[in-house]
Amino acid sequence: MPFTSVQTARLRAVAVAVVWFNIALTAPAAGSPSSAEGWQALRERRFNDAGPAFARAMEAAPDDRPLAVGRASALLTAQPRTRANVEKADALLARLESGDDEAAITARYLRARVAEAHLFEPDHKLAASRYETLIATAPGHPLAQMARVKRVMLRVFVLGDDPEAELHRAEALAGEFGDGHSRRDYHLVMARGYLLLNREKERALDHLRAAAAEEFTLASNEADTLVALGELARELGRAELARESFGRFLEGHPRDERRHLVQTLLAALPAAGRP
Amino acid sequence: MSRINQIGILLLLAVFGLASWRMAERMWRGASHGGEGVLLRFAHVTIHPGIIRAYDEAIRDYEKLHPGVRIEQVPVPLRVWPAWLRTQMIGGTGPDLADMDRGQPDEFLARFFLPFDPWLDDANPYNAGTPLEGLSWRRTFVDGLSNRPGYRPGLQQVFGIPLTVATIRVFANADLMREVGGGDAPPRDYGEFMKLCEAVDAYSRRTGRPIVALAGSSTHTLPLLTRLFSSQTQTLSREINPRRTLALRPRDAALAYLRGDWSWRTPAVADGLELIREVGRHTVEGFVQLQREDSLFHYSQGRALMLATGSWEADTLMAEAPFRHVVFPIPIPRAGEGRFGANVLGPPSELAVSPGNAVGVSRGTRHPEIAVDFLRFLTSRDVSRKVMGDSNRLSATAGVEPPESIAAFAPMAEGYPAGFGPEFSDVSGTGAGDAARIYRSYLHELVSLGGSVEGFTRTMEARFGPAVTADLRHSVRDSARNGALEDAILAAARLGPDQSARSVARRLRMMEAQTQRELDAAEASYVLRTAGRNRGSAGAAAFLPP
Repeated sequence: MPFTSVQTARLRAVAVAVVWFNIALTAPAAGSPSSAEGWQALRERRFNDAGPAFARAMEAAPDDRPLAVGRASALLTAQPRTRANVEKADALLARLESGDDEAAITARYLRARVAEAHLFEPDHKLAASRYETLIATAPGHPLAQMARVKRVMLRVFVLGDDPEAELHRAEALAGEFGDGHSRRDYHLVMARGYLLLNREKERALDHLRAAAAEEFTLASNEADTLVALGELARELGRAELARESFGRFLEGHPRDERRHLVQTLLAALPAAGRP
Repeated sequence: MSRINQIGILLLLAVFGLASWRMAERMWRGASHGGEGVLLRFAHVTIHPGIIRAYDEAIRDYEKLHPGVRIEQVPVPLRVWPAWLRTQMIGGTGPDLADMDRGQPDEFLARFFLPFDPWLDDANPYNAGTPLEGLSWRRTFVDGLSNRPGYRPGLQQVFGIPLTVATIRVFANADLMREVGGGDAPPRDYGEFMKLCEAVDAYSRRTGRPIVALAGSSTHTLPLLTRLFSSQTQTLSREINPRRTLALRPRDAALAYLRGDWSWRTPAVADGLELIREVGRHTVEGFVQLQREDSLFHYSQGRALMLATGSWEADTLMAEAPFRHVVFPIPIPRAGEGRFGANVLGPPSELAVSPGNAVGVSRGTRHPEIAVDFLRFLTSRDVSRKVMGDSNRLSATAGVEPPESIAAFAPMAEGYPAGFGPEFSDVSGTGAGDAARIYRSYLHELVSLGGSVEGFTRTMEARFGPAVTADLRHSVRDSARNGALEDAILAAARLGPDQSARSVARRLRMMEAQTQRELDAAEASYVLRTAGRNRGSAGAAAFLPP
C-alpha cells in the first residue's frame, strides 16, 4: 500500500531530524577563534589544518602581520610539499620583512631558513646572506643570535673551502652573544669544528669549557659536552679540569651508560696537585 | 511515491537511525557508564594471557578505589595494531588509553594523543608512603621520561608513559644442557659459551638428533651477533671518535669509515667478523629469512639448546616451554683474555636500557584526568611491582626490583659503552637503510658453511661505501626536512598566544635539538664532500688519547 502524503511528509521530517542529529554529533565546537587554532595546529604538527585556520583568521584581520607569518609557515609545511607553496611563502615573508617588529624579524629569519632547509634545492649561499641581513638589522634579537650560529655552521662545514680559516674568522664572534642558549650552541659548533678537523685541541677545549658553563635544556647534550670536555682535558694533561668535568657528569647523569668508564678514567687521573 | 521506493527509504532511514544511535551511544558511553559511572577502554598489543591477567588485577584494584570507574582492556594483535589504531582514531571511536610506541609517527601522535607535560611535574599520589613519595611523576621513572618511546624528540614532549624496560639474555633449556654434557651452570664467558655450542654439535652427531646450539631467526639472532661484534669495536670506537664523547653513534662510525679511520680489514673489525662467523655456524642455516615464531618454536620444541631474546618474552617462554630454563647474559669475550679479549673494554652497560610498552591518552577521551590517574596508579611503585611480578617483566618505575623469576634480566649497571655494530641500521635517520640491507643480504657469505670472513670482507669493501654514503645523504636530507617542520613550530611558539613557561621551555628544547641535529648534518655534509680528498688523512691514530 503506498504511503499517504501525510506519511511521506512525516518520513521526510524524520529523515531531516536524523541528518541534523548526525551533523550536530560530528560538528566541531563552535566559537574557537581560528587565529589561536592556526597557531595551535602548527604547534601540534597538524600542518594541513593550520593553513585553512590562518586563512579564516586573516579574512577577519587582513593586516595582522604575525598572522601572515603564521600563514607563510603553514604554506611551508603543508603536505605534500610543493614548489609553488614554498615560493608563495617566501614572497609573503618578503612582504613582511621590512620594519622592526617581531613579525618582520621572524620573517627575515624564516626567509633564511627557506633558502637553507625548505627549498627543494637548498641555496646555502643565499641562506648565509639572508642570515647576514638579519644579523645586521637586528643584532641583539634572539633570532639574530641563532642566525649567527647557523651562519657559522654553514661557513665552516658547507660553504667554506678552508674550514680552518672559517673557524678562525668565527672566533671574532665570541663576544656577540647576549643569549646564553645561542652562546652555548656557538661554542659547541666551534669545538666540533676543531675536533673534526683534528686541529688546535686547546681551542676546542676552551670552547667546550665555555659551552659547559652555559645552561642546557637537553640532558643528553649536556652529558656529551661534559664527557667530551673531561676526555679532551685528560688527553691534554689538564687533570684538574678533567676531574671537574667528569665529576659534574657523574653528579648530573646517574643513568648514562658511560658512567663506569668515566669513573675508571677519573680514578686513573693523577692526584690533585700533581701534573 | 512507489511502494519499492518507500520501502527503500524506510530501510535507509532505519540503517541511518541505527548508525546514528550507535555513534551517539559510543560517545555517551565514554562519558558515563551504567547511568552514573565512567568507562575507559585501554587498548594494547601485549596480549599474552599472563600480562592480561596482571593488568586485570590492577584494574580491579583501581576500580575498587574509584567506584563508578570501569576500565576495559582491548587486546589487539601486533600485526593488525597500526591499521586498527589508525582506523579507530580517525573514525572517532578510538580507545581512551593505547600503546603509542608501535611505530606511530610524530604527526599521528600529535593529532590523536595528549602530551603528558601538564601532569608530569606533580607528585604521583599513589606513591604515598614509598621512597618515591613527593617526587614529581617524571622523576619516578628510571629514565626521568627523557627517552623514546615516551618522550618524542621531534615534538619535544612526552606522549607516552612507559610501563617496562627490557634487557636481552640467553635462555638455555636446562634439561637439554645437562643432556649434551654442558652441566647445570651457565657459561660465564665467550670461551665457555663456545664449548657449550661445540658440545651440542658433538651430541647431535653422536645421537643423530637434529639439534642446534642456537635457535635462529632475524629477530633473535641478529641482535646477538651485533652484541658480539660490538664487543670487538669497543676500544676502536674510542680511538676513532673525534667528538671524545666516549660513545660512538652508528652515524659517527659511518663518517669515520668515509674518513678512512677504519675499514673492514681493521684488526678489531676483522675479529668481530670472526666472532660472527664462529657463532653464526652454530645456528640454523638461512636464519636471516626466518621469523620470531620459527626460533621460538625451535627452542620450545627442544630442537635448539639456546635462544637469545628480550625480557619481554620471558613470560611467554616460562609459561609455554615445557622445561626449566637457565638464563645468562650474552657471553662476550673477557677483556684482555684469549683470542678476542684485546679489543674489549668490558661487558656493555645496561644503565641506559630503553623503556617500552608506553601508553598514551587519546585526545578524544572524555576523561583525560581519569585516564592519567589510572596511569599514575599503574606506574606507582607498589602496583608496578605487583603487575611486573605477575607478568615476569622489568618495571620502568624507579626502584622496583625485578621479580625473582627474572632476576637474571636485571640491567647491569657496571659496564662500558658498546662499540659500533655491523648493521648501521640507524644511519639514514629513518630506520634501516642501504647499509643495513647490504649487511643482511650478504651475511650468509660470512656464516654459511661455504662462507668466509675474507669473502664477506670483499663484498663489504665493494658495497658498503656506496651504501653508507647513500644513508648519510639521506640523513642530511631528513635533517633538513625535520628542521623545516620545526621552523613552523618555533614560529608558532614565538608569535602565538601561548607564552607559558612550559611553552617557552619546549621552544628552547626544540631549538637546542635542532642545532644539534643540524650540526650533525653539517659535519656529515663536510665529510661527504671531502671523503674522496681526505680519505685516511686523519687516520685512527690521530684521535688516539695518549
